[in-house]
Amino acid sequence: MKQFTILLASAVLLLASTFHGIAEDQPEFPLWEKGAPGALGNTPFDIPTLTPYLPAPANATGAALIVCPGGAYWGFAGSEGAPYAKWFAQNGIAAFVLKYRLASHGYHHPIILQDAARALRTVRANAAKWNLDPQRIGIIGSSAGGHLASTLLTHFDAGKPDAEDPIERVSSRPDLGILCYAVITIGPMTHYGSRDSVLGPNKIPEMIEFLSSEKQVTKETPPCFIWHTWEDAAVPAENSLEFARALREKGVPFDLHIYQKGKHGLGLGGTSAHHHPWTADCLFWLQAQGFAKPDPK
Amino acid sequence: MVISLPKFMEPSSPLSPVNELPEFPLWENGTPCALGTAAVDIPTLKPYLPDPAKATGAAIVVCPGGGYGGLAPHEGEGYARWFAENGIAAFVLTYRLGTNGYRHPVMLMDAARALRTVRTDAAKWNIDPQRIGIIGSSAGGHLTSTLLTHFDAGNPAAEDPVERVSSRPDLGILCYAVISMGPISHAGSRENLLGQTPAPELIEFLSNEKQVTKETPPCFIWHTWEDGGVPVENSLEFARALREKGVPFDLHVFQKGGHGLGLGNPENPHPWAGDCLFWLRAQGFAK
Repeated sequence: MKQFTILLASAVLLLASTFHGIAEDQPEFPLWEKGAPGALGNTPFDIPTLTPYLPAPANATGAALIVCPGGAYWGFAGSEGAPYAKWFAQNGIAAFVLKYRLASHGYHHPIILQDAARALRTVRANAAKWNLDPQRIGIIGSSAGGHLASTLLTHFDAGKPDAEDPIERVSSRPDLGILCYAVITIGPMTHYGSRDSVLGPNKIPEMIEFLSSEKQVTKETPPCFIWHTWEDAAVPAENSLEFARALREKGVPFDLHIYQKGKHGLGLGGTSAHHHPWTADCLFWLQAQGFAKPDPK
Repeated sequence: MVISLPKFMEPSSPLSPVNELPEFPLWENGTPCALGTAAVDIPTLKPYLPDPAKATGAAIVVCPGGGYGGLAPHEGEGYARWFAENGIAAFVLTYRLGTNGYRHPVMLMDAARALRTVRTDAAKWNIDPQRIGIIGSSAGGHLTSTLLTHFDAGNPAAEDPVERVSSRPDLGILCYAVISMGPISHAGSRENLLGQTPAPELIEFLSNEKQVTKETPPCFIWHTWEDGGVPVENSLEFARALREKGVPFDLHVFQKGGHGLGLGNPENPHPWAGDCLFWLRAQGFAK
């Protein structure tokens, strides 16, 4: 009887996972096996990690996304990590939620950017292990996590071919970016909490310029999907408008969606029939980028 | 004999009936500034009314595009039927064109008159006179953005009751619109509207990104990044001006899609239509 119950439970779980198109839960793993460079201690806050959410193999497109939750570089908004990752996995995209190091535990630029770059390189270097295409690895970030994503989108490098660690040999350039009500600038339109967190005690003008991503766009910046709400009271929509303007000037393709309605931090925006349309807009764009299948779900 | 429609022409969902009424002239007693009495000299409105059970009481004047030299049906009747199916009364405007000898301000006169006409006769169509918007595509979007930035309160002393009411739209929808008459403009639309050598003051006056005030109505603006006919800067600059004046808006720049796509392929509808309905619900125009 007990065996039967277990069997039944497994069948239900299998059905549920098939229904959602997601493979089994995967364990979180550290970005650096031998300890993160610059670590100030040994607590979980000193160890940046990735948690994979993989699509069911039959559903997989071979594309992947690194997910950077927001939280002013001080904490992590749960709604912008695992729920996004599961939604991407349901749509065939492997998602890896990044736990980066935070100002609340003594970390600032460039440590945080190092974590994001390492995350991109890790998924690319191990693409075969997860049946991923190393040329279809994007990054999504929300609020301060969007600042981190935009920083990597404008400050990637090709990797060091002679590095001992094979992960360090590959490029950290994302193949696309998704920016959700992102902090972009560290200038006057910034979110001051995120700004203080990322800069730390050394607020040197060069660093402000370097981390104002609207000033760092080049024609090599990857294509982006950018969205924000007009009424966002925490991070002004100017952050997204100015980033799009910079992309346009450099000839980089993008989607830009400013929705009049919606609060800062709305995440996936509910599941009702009239839920926020940004997810439908994003899937349409991801289909055109070859990340999602033309007919999702 | 049963004629079966090609698959792409079949409605994708059960649609409510649309009550299409005959077109009527904007001016009953002769059109001002008319160059003749042919059809092209008589601006008209053609109503497409929703099923009364589904009607929201909102209305929208529809300005098709065509470079001020034509009127594209999919941006006229096509949109009007879609609005009516969603409970919004739609009135397709046939405005006078540059290719028939008309120049600014005739087109603006026609658009303003259309708005005033629907507002004056709102009760006749069970419409709320405070929920009358305007939509325009391409050059029709220029006309729309011109009315959105150059409306007036009406003339209380006018003999004609239509001229007594405001021409201010309660909202605007701008589809891959020509906004500017400056360097980012669409050259053909500009020439049809203003002639070959317009005065700098006129270019400034009709570069609507420069004419936004805090009284400009809320707008839904969309364009495609890859538009090869009208550069996306037109929409970006208009949104920027609205933002500076504190006017609420939706702005959607889609990377993919050609100029003039309208509602797109009914088999795989372009997501702008869903975004637009979401916004229209928030404005109290759609249910």
